[in-house]
Amino acid sequence: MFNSKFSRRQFLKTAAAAIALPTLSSLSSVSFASNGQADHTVINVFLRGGMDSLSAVIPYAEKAYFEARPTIAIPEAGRTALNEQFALHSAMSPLKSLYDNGDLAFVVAAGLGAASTTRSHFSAQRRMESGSDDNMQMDGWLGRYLASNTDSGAVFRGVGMGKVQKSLRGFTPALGLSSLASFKIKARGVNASSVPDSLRKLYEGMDHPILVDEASRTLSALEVAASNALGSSAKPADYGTSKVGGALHQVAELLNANIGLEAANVDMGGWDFHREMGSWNGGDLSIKFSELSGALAAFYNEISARQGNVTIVVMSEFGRRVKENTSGGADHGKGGAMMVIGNGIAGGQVYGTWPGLAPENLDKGDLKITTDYRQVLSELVDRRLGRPDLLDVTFPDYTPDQYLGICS
Amino acid sequence: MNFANIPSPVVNTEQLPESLSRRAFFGGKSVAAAAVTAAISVPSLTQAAVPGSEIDDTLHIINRLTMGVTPALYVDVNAMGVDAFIEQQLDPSSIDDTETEAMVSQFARLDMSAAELQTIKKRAPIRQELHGATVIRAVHSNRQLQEVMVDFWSNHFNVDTHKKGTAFYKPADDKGIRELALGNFSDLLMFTAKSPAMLEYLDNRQSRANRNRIPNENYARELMELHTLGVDGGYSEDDVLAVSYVLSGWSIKEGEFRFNANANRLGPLNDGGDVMGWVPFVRERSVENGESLINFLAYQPATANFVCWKLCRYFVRDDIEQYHPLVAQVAEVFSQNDTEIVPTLSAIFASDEFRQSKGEKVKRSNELMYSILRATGAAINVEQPQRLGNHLRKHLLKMDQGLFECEPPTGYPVEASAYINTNAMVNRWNIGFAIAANRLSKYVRVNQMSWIDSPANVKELVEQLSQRLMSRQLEASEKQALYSQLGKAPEDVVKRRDIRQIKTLAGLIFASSSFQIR
Repeated sequence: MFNSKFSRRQFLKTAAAAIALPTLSSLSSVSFASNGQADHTVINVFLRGGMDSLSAVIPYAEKAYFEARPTIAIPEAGRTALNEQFALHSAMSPLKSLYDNGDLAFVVAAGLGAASTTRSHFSAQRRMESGSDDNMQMDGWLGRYLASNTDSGAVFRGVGMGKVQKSLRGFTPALGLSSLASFKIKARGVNASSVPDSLRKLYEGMDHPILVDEASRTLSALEVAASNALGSSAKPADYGTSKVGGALHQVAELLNANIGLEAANVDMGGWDFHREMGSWNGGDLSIKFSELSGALAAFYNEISARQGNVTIVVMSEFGRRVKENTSGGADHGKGGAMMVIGNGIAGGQVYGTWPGLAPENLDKGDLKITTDYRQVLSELVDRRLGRPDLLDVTFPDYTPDQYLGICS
Repeated sequence: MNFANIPSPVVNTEQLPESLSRRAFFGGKSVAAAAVTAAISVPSLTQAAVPGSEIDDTLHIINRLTMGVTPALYVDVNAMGVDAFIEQQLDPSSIDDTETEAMVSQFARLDMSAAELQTIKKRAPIRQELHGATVIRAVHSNRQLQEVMVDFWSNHFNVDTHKKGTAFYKPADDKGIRELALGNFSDLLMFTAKSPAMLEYLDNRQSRANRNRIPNENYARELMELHTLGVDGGYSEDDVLAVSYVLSGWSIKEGEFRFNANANRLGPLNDGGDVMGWVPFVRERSVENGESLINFLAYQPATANFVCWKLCRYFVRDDIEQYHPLVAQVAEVFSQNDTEIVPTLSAIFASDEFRQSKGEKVKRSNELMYSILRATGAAINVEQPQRLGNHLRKHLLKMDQGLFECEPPTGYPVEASAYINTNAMVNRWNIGFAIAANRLSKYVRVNQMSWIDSPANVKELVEQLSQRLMSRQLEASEKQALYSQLGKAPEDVVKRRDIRQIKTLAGLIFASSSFQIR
């Protein structure tokens, strides 16, 4: 017996994968699709806490940068020039070759739209992930995109690492995953093999608004994971030991398994450096940069076969205050930076209009925002994903004047 | 191995005869009676009537005021009445808890001063002991509502023990939160503002405004956004800056709060500024200004609304609106009672919305673990407190609920829609299978045979398990799933092979949506 809240469709899909149902011809295409490769996959890496973009993409040509940050400005020894205006933090050097190859673009002075004045992490993150200026927008830009895109029938279309983040909300079938290696039911003893089936029966007749759907999704995902031996691929050493590396490696495994992944969200926390950013050479902030860059480079390497069909977007809710504070850190600011990575983009450039750091150019002590983050994402959806028809639903209250030309 | 309070050895199911006698199951007193609520004897399974699957008033109150029902507690609350139970739980000092305290006293690091812990240096054992002691209190304490409120406030005043030296300060922070969990909100706010754990976690210890330095805004912002007014509580960016000046110099010395007067400046407030109407009343370099400002924030109407909204979401239902009449009514009680927490909770517990919200909350993943440990009558051995804590911690981390390890200052979410996901679901199922099969930790043992009493047939087996572990019955369709696991019809006699699946059946009960809600 199926309750209306229990996804009959999803159940049939799994049943079709588990046992042959040749009479239902439509199902064979569904199960084929769920084992296919998505046309394109977007990986959104969200740096939570407000990444200090002025230490990552360093405006080394500006005197005001060094004046505002007498103790935390990155000195010459700790940076590599990207062009005459900006330099890359040396802890991010694993990304330099991607930049030089044209597979990585930076966007500076990027961030929330002009409507935003918030310096709250949580308000800013919610808003950025929603893709809208409306605080009441409950779903996210990736979620709306996925929900409107053609349904391939794959179980793993949208995945949030750690949890289903706000950006994926609105796409109900999104999965939240942590460790693929431990993504299995651990019942043992007599009849343990019947447990997944018993779990399905346990939920079928029930109508809990959250648990029943999630149980159905989980059981379907467990079947796909088992049949594709997900969680068994060894993590290449160049990822290092960071959490973000672990998460990105698992996304790589999902991509390489050809199970139809279209979007994934990976979080990296710990960017709220109100204090002790530390030395460019081994300080706490440099360790974060090193973990992030090492993990991104390792990920890009691990998906080498599909670099042209994957786009990684790295963003943070805001940048940090231009002037350093009393404790060797900087408080919440406005303008930050984004990264776009993928083969075939017009990388090797720093995009965006630089507003300058001289006091008269700042917005209440903060770097001004000259590029709405959605300008970058719209271009991605339009030009790289080839879905201009989905711009309105993905960014309902935003229309870009022009594109930066990253995804030409 | 010396298991606290467990008089009988674990019965090995493999050795059971085909025909099961009650005596074979109960080597003596039941585990539940001894381990969970030592003062109350466990009712005989055959005495208890077998009611239906609905959550009755007794069970509802237990579900919300405690970390989970036990058969003994159900009988007890039924006898005293729900209102008497609420009253008892709101007055934890009236409840004897010596047995729990004796167990917790094994966690030596939690009684050390921050200075001592800093001398020892290691942080991981502190986190392990914090996990062990918190789980033991959640599972064993007779002051259940106090532990529920400690959990609430520990998230409201979140501290991540991975940040810098926070772990050294957390044991004292935890102690203070427990003492004040049912006290006065303004006291609690003041306590956390001066708690070295908070000063370290939100960086205020380094906030200095002398010599034209800019104070650190981190704590000032979260104080208003997360601890008091709420993000829409009416403060401005200028207020954040002003508050950070008032609190500059609030720091730590030798593991204790220290006001560093030299580093305290009033910045914009020296030039006639104010914070939502609050103005400094003594000159700068005085701790009294900060204390006055924190009290001012504690008593703001926006704070009453925000804190009471969070309490209503916690105790009533996830989706209650911030301006729901119940929130307004509770906030009124909070304000009129000088921010006292007990009358505030009383108002929630007395409301129709609360009484009618049976089963509308999902157990958060730590609550789920505690409730399974309580339901199973698990005996916890505290001889190796750090190893025990480490095992418990690993399981909580898998469910994204490592205690005092939430990185953002929001604390863990209370809404099921935010924490229920594919990963959580699998691990929420697995923890039930693990506990029921004694695979959680070698320091945690359940006696599966104590959960049943000579069931005549498969239907009785399932009903006895259900009653014993949930104090109510599974829904009919859920029972079918258990029959199907056994491959049996309800009227079939219970065979040894079925008995060997008790741990799996119990795991399925814990995995059911009936068990996962509260």
